[in-house]
Amino acid sequence: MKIKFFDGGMGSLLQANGLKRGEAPDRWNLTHPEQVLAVHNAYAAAGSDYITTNTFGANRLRFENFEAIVKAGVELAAQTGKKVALDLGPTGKLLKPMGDLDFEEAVGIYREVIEAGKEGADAILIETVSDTYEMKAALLAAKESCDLPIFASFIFDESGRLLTGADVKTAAVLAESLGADVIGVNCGFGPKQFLRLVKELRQYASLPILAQPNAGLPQSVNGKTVYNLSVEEYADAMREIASLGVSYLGGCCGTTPAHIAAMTSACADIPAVENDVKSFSFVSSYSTTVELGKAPIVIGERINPTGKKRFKQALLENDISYIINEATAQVAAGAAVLDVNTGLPGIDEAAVLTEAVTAVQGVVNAPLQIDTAHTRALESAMRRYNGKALLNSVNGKQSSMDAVFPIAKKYGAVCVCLLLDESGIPATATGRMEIAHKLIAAAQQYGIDTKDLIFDPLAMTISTDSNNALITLETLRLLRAEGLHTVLGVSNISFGLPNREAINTAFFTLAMQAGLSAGIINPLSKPMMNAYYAYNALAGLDEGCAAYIAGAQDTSPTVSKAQGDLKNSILQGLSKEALEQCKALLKEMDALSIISEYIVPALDEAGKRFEKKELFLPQLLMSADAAKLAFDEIKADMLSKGQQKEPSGGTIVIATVEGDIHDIGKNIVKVLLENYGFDVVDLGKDVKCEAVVEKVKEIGARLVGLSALMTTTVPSMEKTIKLLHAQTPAKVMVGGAVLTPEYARQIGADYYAKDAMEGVHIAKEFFG
Amino acid sequence: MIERKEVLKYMRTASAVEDAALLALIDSCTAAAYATITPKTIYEVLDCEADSSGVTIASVRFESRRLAQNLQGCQKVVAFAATLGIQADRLLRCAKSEGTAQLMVCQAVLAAMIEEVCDNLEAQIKAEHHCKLRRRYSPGYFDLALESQKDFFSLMDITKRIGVTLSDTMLMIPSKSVTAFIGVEDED
Repeated sequence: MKIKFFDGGMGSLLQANGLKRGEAPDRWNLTHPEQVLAVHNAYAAAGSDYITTNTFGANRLRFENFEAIVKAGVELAAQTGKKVALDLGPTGKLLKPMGDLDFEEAVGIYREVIEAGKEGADAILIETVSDTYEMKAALLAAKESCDLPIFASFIFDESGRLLTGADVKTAAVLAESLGADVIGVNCGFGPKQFLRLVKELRQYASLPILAQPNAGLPQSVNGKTVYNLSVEEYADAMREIASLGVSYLGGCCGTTPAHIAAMTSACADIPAVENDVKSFSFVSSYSTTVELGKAPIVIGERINPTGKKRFKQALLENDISYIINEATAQVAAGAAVLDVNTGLPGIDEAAVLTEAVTAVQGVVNAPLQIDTAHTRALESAMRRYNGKALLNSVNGKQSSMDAVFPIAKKYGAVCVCLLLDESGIPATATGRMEIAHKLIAAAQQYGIDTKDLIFDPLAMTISTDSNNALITLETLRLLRAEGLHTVLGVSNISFGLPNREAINTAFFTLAMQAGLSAGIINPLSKPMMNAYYAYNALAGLDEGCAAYIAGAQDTSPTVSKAQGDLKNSILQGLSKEALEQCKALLKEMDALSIISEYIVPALDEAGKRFEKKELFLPQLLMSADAAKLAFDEIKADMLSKGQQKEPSGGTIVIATVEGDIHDIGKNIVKVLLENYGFDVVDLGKDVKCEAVVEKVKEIGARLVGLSALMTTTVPSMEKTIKLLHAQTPAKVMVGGAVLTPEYARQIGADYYAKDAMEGVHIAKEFFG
Repeated sequence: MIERKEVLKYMRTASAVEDAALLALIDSCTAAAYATITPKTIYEVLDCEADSSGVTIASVRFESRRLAQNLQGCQKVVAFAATLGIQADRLLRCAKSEGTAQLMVCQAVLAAMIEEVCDNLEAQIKAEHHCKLRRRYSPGYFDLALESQKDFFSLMDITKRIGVTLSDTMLMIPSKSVTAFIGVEDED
């Protein structure tokens, strides 16, 4: 097979013919078609097998008439008689939650372009993508709207990562899991820097490779960007890339038909080399890939409401920050993957699970295990997941395989396979292995490779049958002997027994010894993590015992311990101490007394010191955070005892107004208000006026707090106040760096708070 | 490496504060920021022509009397963009889940850090071009409309080159990003 050649740069060639700097080249498909065609023809003559349409930025975010631009682009490329690659660049937006573009909207944007251009195209080229999430949106759009082969090409920076954090391996895992046909790298650098990227693709990816580097590194000469490689140097370097084993080559910024002609002749005698098909079992997040089947890994089990009243309460109240805290704590404790389960009667699981997955992946870099028995929730969460997830779970029942495997295939996942079927859980290891073989065969029919299956031999408690652990361990050994990967919910083994941790740790060690690839455990349990680190150290899986030693460190804060009681700890802003002291107090006295005797006096004193300028704002906040932890503990305690929580001091809706993303002030006000017993509904930052009004109406809030930091956003504050006053009886307090009492009056605010403490005073007086 | 007193300044807190817990928080946030963030910058020296109502920079027009005053007498202007990248926003989200104090300290650390990145870039430009630089002037300052970010972004191809994007409300994402013009004066 011969290497197939793409074309090279377009923008700089059009600029030489009058395209202005900063002007989008795409529009020229309509205004200067002869110029665009001339470039296409020059590349065709230079030996390009594929001509890329001039549609890099042609989408609805940039052009109202993008469809006409795309259609014209395809027609122009087709006139060369070569194969036409429909070009899709990045949207130019970052996706939520980091940016402001919704994922489904991104899918829609790409879908429209593909619908407009697929007639006449021979392939889809998604290129210069620096975000795995955006690549996922584009790949889903392509898969859902055409059957054309898809080239998925990323741009990496000098550290070998995408701008959003993925390394080459992680980017490739995502593109392959979503069904791209070719994996590529383009732009960013010249061919010399590409050698390393292409080598990594050869090492980790299985798909054929496309490489389209720039004509060297850019330099600015008299306000013009030029690239430092001559045509000959470029061709020589491309020959080097070709020798690594690729299927497609082309050029990017700064390359011309001369570069492409030199490249095609320099590489003419080098055959295309298909990439080797790899057998890695990878799961990934936006930035990180975890391999299953090497050293055992820990899957954190704590994001799961089963048996946790406080967690259920958080889910019912849509308290996502509670889930995020569980996520960060588990990753800090050593979990490599996090299980996310939000199954609870009476909630919309598809919505809640999807929201939880979106929120958690916005904070931690560990891959997620999406855990639900609900098919619609599974599909919804898998669709929004930014990476290749672990999918928990499928089992040997026909109905389960029929429901789950298509989702796993479409969105790309490693499936947890439970070894049970219509007849239940087999009592023997060989019986469970039969189900494993059935699952492997069924997965293959859906096009799912065995490397993307991980088997759960199921642990049942030894309290009902003393052979249960032995059967599970035997199944683990049999699975391992066939080269299969394994996962286990470890703690089930001790159900119904006292002192469960003793059994759990011993069983965890035995299971790892029997070949367990991944243990679903509570990583905040020190004994379980001790067992994990100790096993790895003993099994020769921990070079220099580094992980064991790190895991043995005391991670308590290094600051001096609090003097005295809970009140002092809060005043000094010592969160961990405050939490411990609060727990101890809860054993001796009732919750409301703790609040009135310790927490409120501490907060009042901190507030006074702040007003006397003896404390600075960050110190006041550390006290507030410590108090909040104590409050949360008290809330959890009251819930577990079936007590009602104390009545609210009043509900306040707060927001940072549209156009403003400076929300630190608003967050400060929130934590202080909450500490003083108010219910705060936080709408976030950059919030549209209508959204504020809608929420206030919905919950009948009487007080609203708005913040703005920039002069440019005060008008949207004014607009929000006017709307609120016109449509609701609510009063509005405002604050923010640019405001003064006079200014606040001018824009119609009812109250002006010069700082967060004053916000508390206003609220107390208002509701008092 | 940014200093504690810079961070304290961004929190409007006296640099003499001796609160062990607060200082430890600043140090851990600073360490986390340096461990995860790779700042990115781009700049170009472009032709500029100021008149009474605005400036034409590399054939793109920016209406602003104040910018015109700022660039009066300059034939060249530096256009630059700098960002701490999306990792900084992730750090902020993470800090927010830890608590408001942590969020505030993290904000201040990142503010000091992007400022340091801009200062270092200015020093580099001065050294490379043997010139003096005027004060930075960014879209959104005084009468240079925030909307001009659109033109600034396409002029410099910022999204493609360093991954900074504009929201519908003209805010930059990643949030710790700076774009600015700087007037270039020849060295005497």
